[in-house]
Amino acid sequence: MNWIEIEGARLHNLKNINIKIPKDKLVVVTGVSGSGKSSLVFDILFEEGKKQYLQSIGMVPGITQEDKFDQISGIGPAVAVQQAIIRQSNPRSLVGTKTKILAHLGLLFAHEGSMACSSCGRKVGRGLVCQHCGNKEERLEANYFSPNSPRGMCLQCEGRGVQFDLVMEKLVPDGTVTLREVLVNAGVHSTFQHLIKGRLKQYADTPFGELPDDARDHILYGIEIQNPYRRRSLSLYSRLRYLLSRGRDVGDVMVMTPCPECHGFRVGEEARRVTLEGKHIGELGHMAIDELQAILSTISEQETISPFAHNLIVELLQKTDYLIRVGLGHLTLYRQMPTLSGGEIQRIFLASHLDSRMESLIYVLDEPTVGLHEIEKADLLDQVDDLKSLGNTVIVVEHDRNTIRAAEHVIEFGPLAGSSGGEITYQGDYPGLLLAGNSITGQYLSGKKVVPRKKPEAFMPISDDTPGLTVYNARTNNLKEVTIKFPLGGLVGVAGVSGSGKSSLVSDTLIPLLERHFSDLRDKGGSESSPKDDLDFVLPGPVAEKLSGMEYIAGCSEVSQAPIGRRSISNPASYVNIWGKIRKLFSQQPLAKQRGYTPGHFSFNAKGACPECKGRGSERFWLGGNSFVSNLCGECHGSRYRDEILDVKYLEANVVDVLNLSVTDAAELFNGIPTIHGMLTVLEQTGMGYIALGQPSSTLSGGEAQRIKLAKEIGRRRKGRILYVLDEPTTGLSLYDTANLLEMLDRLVEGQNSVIVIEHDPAVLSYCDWIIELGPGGGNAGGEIIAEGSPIDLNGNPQSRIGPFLETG
Amino acid sequence: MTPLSTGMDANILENLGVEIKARYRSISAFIIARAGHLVFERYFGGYGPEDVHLVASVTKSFLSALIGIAIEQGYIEDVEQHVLDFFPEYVPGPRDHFKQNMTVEHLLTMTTGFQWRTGAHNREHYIERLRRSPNWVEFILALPVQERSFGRFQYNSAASHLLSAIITRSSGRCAQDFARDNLFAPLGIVLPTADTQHNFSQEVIYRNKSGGWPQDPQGNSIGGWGLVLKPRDMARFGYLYLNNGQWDGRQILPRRWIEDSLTPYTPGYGYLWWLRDLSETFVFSAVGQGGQHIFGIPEKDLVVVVASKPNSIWRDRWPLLEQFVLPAVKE
Repeated sequence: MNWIEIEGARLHNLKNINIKIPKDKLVVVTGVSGSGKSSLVFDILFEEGKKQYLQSIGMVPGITQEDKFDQISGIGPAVAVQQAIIRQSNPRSLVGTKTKILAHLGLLFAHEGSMACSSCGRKVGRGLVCQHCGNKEERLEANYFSPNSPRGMCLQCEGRGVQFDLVMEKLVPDGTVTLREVLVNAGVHSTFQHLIKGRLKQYADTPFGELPDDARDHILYGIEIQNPYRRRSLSLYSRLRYLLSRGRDVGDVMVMTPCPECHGFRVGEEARRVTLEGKHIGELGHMAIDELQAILSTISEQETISPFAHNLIVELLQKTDYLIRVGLGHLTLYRQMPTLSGGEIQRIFLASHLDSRMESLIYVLDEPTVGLHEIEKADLLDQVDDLKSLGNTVIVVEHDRNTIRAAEHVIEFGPLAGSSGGEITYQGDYPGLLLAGNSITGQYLSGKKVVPRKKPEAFMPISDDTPGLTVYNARTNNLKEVTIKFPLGGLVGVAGVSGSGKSSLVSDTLIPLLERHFSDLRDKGGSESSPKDDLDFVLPGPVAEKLSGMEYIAGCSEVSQAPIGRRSISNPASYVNIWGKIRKLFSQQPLAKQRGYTPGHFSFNAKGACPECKGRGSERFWLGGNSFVSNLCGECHGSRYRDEILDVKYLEANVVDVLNLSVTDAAELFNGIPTIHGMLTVLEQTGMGYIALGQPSSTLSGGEAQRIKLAKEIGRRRKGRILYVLDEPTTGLSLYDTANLLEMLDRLVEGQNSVIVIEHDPAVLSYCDWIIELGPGGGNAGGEIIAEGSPIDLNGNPQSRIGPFLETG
Repeated sequence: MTPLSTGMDANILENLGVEIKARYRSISAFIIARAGHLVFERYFGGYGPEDVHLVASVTKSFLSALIGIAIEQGYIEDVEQHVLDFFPEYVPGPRDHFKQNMTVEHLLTMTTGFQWRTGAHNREHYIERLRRSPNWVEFILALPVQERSFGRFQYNSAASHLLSAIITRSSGRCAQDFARDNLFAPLGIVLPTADTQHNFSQEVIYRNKSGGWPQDPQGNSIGGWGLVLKPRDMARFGYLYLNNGQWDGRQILPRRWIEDSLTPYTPGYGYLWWLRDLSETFVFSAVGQGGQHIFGIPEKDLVVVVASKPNSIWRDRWPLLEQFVLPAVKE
């Protein structure tokens, strides 16, 4: 059988569809956001493949409540690379730990490393006895080589490779500087106000150098607070380190330097005494993967290595080989995952699957080209093709035109989102898609419809006199002394291959510097929660000489892809502040008034909660092992509400109906209520029309979270002069939705604001008034400005790598 | 002396023996002394009064006593003396603010803030690294002090080792020799001589068979563990504390030192002694891995000793005290 057949699929908005998907082919599933692609591919195909596989090896997967489909056949074990699982935030997670290369290297060092005598430092022989002083050494276990293991980490820096120091001469430049001035200079005056108004009041205006030792120590390092737990008070040191660890610029009063003990190598002395080819594991950790591969190849050619080590190296080489082939050879093993671009993260995950060499699987990939430059997409598609050539079925959910073009079979869902979608609008080969009259994607790809282009006269003229923000000599991450002006008042695109330094320049340099500027203005140093002394941080902080042009803007707002809330009670409606208004509206209905209901009665986590399940809607049972099964609550049947609350209706809909409505449908329902309707319309325009008002925020993708944030920002109707920064806003957007997004950005600019987008999509970049391109390559091969100018300028600039892809005229 | 004559219920104590045999199979000796007399002394699993036991961290409480004696004899000024005074070879760096302020009392109370991890579920990774290092004191002094933990309780065998090194540095004798002259001899405790170890295999660390108090490569008796004792010797040491530091009419330990040692500095811990209220009765205890205990209950004039086979997992011994020993006391 060469088909996967699904009959009667009806999950979410799917309209009882029957579908046959060819096996052993590259299949691309596309369609506007919310059309039902994910419901079919992830929630039915992948979940069912996983479940049947688990059952076949004797595990009991959870039993679902949902009625998803009538029948499914031809399915096999399924693997998904979803964006939701690949979002990274743990700074302890390194490229080397994520890819397991560090763990393998640890084993290799443990077995094959040559050891040095712990007392005289000379190399010891095979028998592990030092010829010089007779010391007998013991081999180290593999975890001694891991910077995240208590055995392996450098004890000085706990495996972080860096330390923080106060720079006293900057903090107290001369003998006249008072305690109060020191705190003001350090930007933490408000945080310590209670101290200089309280315990240290008498010293507030004393020169810092004349403070008694205990007062000085109190400010710099904190004192023991006399309670049973003898905690320490807040100190300048811990406060500044906390700010620095959160990526805030604290000026030069605190410096982050390589740990003097391990010199930034993260591992302890024990591990650093063990070497392969003269290098210890810390040195390998700082090496680019392509250099590492060369060293491993040399070791594998030695005749003295054991068969075990040989096998380890073969595996390691396979891993490095795949990483290099997906264009990640420039990364080091010690690079922190959260500092990678979205595209780099995606490819690390893809490489791990290429590495597995399994066949007859069904791979489901969620937008693998996200974050990739046009010229990188071709490489990635080769990898995807490899996966298929191994004998797997590869199903890619994708909006990218190159990927759709490469597909052997295209399935389009549509025609639109939510209740206007859920049908298959096209299925077949690529040429057929271009001819299909009812396919929106086909119309865009064949040029019958176009993503809006600016007329030449609509571009904002930009000259040297245009106001702008200028960053001087930025050296953050791989940036090479970059001095660049971001023109204000228009739409500015930042382009470049992945790893070229786009995020380093914008998210890690420009934004932190602006935040510092505006927080200094407000002197709101104490607005954050108190330092938790959580030393984990994302390296490194912004490094730039200075920033100018702040006087042209009133504020800065980064609309990132970070999750908008992890709690299950947070949802799009509550995030954009219309949920309270909707509950209030319900409480004003005649029946509600009659019964005395307050807005709280329409909340499932307050008075309205079903008393049986306390608003959870279901109960969880343990089946043994790792298996749980959720049963709908017998009392509320999953509605989460008390029954009587649902009697109250607004135009035929009760509060549960409203939570289940898509944004588009809700906009229609609340047409008469401007405050709610307005916000819903904005949400719809950001391409979020399909999302349900009550969908838990924790299930939203990064792109969805970003667009909801964007809608909230636009809905705030600020007074203008705000700089909005968006990182890859087209993630997850179809061509149709991209067109809507561009209109939104136009509206922001029309409102006297400025917009900076970090983007790869040529359609969006072509729409920008000005483009700044970084490159030429990734990592050390990047970090420079290779071109800047209007799309037309770049199109004619031989230095520009994105230029040829831009649509001009 | 029978249990009855010292005011203990013989039936309950008989049940105690049954309970130990049934549910506490790793216990090899259980001793109860009341008012200085042995009222219950049982050995299990083939052990007898002459067999020695690895008492693990019970060693720390002995070291506490030695520090008290060293202060009394003027080797150490007082508990406020700075730790680095004893280690002039350590050159403090710019980040060593807390290390420079660290006192003997911080070591005694486990509030050094030294970067350290320990505990049953965390395995002794740091002790593993310590035993591999060529110079233990150097290794410990190089540990960073975390300002968030300085002054807060964090159990740490390395801190106790510094106390042992302080005895060596200040008195010119290793802790075992210092103890022989000032504590063991008066109490009648005899210990075989120890060897200085240069290579610490796990065997030497945890299964010391030599009988002596093992030493680090520089000749400091191990401060955090290492003593090998007979259960009756443990009882003598407990009684010394119950008797305000006097033994046979001689003041071995200053009374004041004992009071300070048994006053909680952080909840439940004094100067290397665990402190607890059990059924509203104050109990102090030296505690070692595997279920080694010296309990002192001043209010009831009781010393209780539990010695066990070395084991990484063991049943908590406190319930035996609460359910059998205390109820057996007749007022």
